Amino acid sequence: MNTRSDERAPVRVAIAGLGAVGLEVARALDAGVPGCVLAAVSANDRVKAAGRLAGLAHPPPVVPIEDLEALADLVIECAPASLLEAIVEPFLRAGKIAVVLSAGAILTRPHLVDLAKANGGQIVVPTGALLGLDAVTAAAEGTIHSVRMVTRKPVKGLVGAPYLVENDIQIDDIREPLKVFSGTPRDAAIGFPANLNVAVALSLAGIGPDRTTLEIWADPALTRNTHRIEVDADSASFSMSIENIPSDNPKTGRITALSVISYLRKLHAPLRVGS
Amino acid sequence: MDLGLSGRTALVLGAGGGLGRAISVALAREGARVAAADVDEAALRATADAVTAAGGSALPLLWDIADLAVIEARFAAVEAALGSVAVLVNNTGGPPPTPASGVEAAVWQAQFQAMVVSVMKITDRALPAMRSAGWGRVVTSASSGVVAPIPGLAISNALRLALVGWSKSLAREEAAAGITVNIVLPGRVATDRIRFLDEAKAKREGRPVAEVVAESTASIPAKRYGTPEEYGDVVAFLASARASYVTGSVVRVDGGYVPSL
Repeated sequence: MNTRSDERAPVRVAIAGLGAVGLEVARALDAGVPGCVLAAVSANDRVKAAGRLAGLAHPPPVVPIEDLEALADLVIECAPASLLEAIVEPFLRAGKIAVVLSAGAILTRPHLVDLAKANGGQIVVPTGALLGLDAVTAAAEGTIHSVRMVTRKPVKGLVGAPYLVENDIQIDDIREPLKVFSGTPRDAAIGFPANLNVAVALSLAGIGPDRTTLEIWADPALTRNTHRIEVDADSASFSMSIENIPSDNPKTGRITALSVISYLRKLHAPLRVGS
Repeated sequence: MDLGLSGRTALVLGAGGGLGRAISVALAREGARVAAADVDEAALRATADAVTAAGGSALPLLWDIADLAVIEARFAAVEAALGSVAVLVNNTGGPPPTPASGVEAAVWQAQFQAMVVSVMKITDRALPAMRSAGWGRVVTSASSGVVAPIPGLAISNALRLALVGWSKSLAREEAAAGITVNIVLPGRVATDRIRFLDEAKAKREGRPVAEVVAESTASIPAKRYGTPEEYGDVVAFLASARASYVTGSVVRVDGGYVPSL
């Protein structure tokens, strides 16, 4: 009694980077995501990665980055942004899908989009720690007048950001919320590379990294990253806010991994909700 | 001499130990695609680094071989990344030093599971692909204690000998399929394991370690411990295409240490 979906070959998923997001996604795939199998993993420390995966029911091989493409149909990039090209280029060149968490790094590497276009590949930026990207992309089909984002973060989630270091902005012992940045996501992607993937994702969904406006606040009273987004468009005006619960990595929200898992689940889902 | 190992997939058990590391490096140098298995993450990292330094790349496998339930999953990972295993090196960690008498039944059983049953079941998993390919190598590393029992290592002497009988039986069954099955016996090779055993003996007998080492090397005709590399090279040869007519053998790498024929 086979149906068509039963006959479809499962999507072989590779994970590049085994930090908080990668490990969570690996565990979910091992537990079972219909239509997907965990095919391979790569990580900076491959032995440590093999150790972290040893408890899975079906631990995948932990291979060098350059070996991933031969083993998988889709790669999830959740690694340091500097590795973005090494991870996604082979997949895009082969006309496959690259799910990119280091969305901020796409801004300075527009050739990756060209590569995907030339070869029939696709770069997917999951909704990640943000929300409502589907509404923003829908509004962008019409005319968006403005997109404004205000990010508030606990101090420890911002410490060490290059922008703060270069401008000698001290936040270690602040007592009150401090606005540390006001500008565009393009500038933020360079000054806050580990933090601001969400702002770049928002700008890519909407009106681009130079017209979107962004404020970043360090707030000693917060334990959760908080984003407030206001969109004014000819189809609708809407505002959204989200408080993210940190994962093991304080710079990454727990919902980021869940967003990737939900994307994978939608790949073959008989009912797909949200565009 | 081209050993004909280039592109073949080799699985090395106990790859984190001194002998396993040298075997992994020797096989990688010959162009084999090495999957390196060990239960000790730090030791496995050292082996992965050594293989990388030798110009290769080892697939790391955290693997407690006493756990038979994970054999299928580990082989699946190796086969996905490197293809079917053509060379299996059964190298297992050594058991604790004990006399022959008075060892708890639970210890005998646990060691039999870890050192003997594990090797048999892992080899069983590797054999079908070797038969299909018409080419396979099973090299099992034992100990000189199987021909000249070593005082104080009764568990090793007894259980590794079981593998010799098994290996010889298997060699006769599989020879026509192009699969060779051999045993290699390390004598006293300078590894952490030998250092541990020398220190244990020194402590037991209340003597300085240097004196135990001097006495030990004096008893070896070559007058020195072997190097892990010397051992790894012999294993690589037995794993090679060149050694295609060597099967059912027990090969000593002991500097002439064992006095019997």
